[in-house]
Amino acid sequence: MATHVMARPGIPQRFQLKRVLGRDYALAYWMIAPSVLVLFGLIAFPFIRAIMLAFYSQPIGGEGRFIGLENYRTLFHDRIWWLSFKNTLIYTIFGVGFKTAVGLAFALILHQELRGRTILRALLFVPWSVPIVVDAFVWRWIYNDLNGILNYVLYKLHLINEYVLWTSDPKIVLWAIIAVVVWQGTPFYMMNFLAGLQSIPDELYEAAEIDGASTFQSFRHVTLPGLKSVLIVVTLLSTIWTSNELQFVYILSSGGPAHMSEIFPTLAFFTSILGRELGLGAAVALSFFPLLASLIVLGGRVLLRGAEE
Amino acid sequence: MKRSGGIRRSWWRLFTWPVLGVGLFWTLFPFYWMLTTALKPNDDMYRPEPLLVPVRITLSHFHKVFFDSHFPEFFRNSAIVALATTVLSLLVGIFAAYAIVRLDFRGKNLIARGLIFSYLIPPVLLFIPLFELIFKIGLLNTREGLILAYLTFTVPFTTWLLMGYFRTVPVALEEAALVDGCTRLMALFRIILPLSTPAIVVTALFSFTLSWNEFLFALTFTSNPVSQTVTVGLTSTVAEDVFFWGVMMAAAFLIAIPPVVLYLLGQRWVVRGLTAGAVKG
Repeated sequence: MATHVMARPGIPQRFQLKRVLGRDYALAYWMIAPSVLVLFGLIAFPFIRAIMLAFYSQPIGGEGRFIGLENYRTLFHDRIWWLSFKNTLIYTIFGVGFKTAVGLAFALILHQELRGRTILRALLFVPWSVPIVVDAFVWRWIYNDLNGILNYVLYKLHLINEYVLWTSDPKIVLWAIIAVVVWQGTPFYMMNFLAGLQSIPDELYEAAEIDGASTFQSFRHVTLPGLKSVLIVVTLLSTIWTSNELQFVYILSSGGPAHMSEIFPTLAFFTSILGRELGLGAAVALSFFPLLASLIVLGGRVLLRGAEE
Repeated sequence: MKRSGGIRRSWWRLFTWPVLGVGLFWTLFPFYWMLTTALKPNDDMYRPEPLLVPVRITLSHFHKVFFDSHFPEFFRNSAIVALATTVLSLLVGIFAAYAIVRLDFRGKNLIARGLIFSYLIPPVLLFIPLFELIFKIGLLNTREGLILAYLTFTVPFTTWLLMGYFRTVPVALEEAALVDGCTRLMALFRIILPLSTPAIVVTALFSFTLSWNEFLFALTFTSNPVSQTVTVGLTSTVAEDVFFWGVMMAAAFLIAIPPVVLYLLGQRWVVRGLTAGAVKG
């Protein structure tokens, strides 16, 4: 590196700039300019604007008015906000939890010599490669009260005595949605875990076998430690994305009945765009921000560390 | 193929096929149901005893999607937006990634960090301020507005993925070219890019799929068929007809084709992309 930096006595000023800004600054700044524009103009600036908006009363197209913490005070006294708070927690924890468990189980099963493994993997991956809107609508049809196939089959099998209102029974709706979240998201976990399993050297298993380790012991002491980093990355990133995905709730139940399946992303959309209150909507979107920010910082660090290795 | 690890014991094997069977059924039945619904006449669909296997097949729902709905417009909008987003983010990403990986300049760590953190910021935190921005510059209900918004998630991960790949191209190749009088840009286009074709294909594939599948921005920034994409188009179908499920499933099936085909084509690269943290799930 250092050999490229040659002193050029004829142009001392430029030499100075190179010392401060780096050897290739002139070309480099042109090359990164468009991405910096996107990064600041379309991400960083709007992001800061969102945080500011939460302190404003800002109707769509109208004058904004600084109101301090008033938006948050409104939310803390709002039953629907608390309901969404609880729902978002349940939705995220159980969504991520089940996806991890089921994904790991299927990764372990597929990590064997199986006939047609490639095809199996491709097939099991379909729900994830399909647009979420499509997934959600297919399930809305399956869950349909009257003509849905789920009610019919369960009834015929005598597993239920009367048709269940999957997306309009307040006790069931959130769980019906979580089932779809898990159905759609498991393939992503499975693929990552499978890649993680394949990176564990066979020698470790052979050594464990020679030492007389049982299947469980080699899972506990070879497989799990080998999967640790993948597990952390996947659950971390997925927690961020799962908790911020509104399509399942929006399409399956619109947050109903009576907000029983409302989560922060849907509430933020309804408040800001349909309710035309951008400030209050921003406050809703930022409800989990302290938690989310720490996840983002953690996730960013893990990804950066992964890149340096 | 790599053989399996230490989990080959017989008791585990016993569970393999039953569990896989249940898994496959649970994974694929909804798609079977989607396709058969799309092919069933309405009379067979809305009856007390649904038909598990269609007895009569009709293409009327598909016909309606193609000739009696806004879906052709939705498809065109989705294709234009996804293609434009992909091309733009590749252009931006290739230059940025090359500069960050190969050039020496102040602030490059800041940019690299900025990219990774902005990749993790979920769209829910951005759609309100972006709505304001797009509203102010008069791009609501336009494809251009959507393309701008989609760059917020394609540029960070395109750049990030390409950075990872450019790093694996040996510096020596480039240095030789530079000594021979190549400029940096010539080296990028003649040496790095040809060697990075697989990475570029994968990033393009992901960009296209993510943009095609996107929902929240399209829902927020567009409200008529002139600019609406397939994903929001599907939600607007609900309101139009009481017996909409046949048309709905036909449209849903058609919408799912491009991403599924692209995924199958790029399957062998997907895992690498996934572990690079390239895709949201």
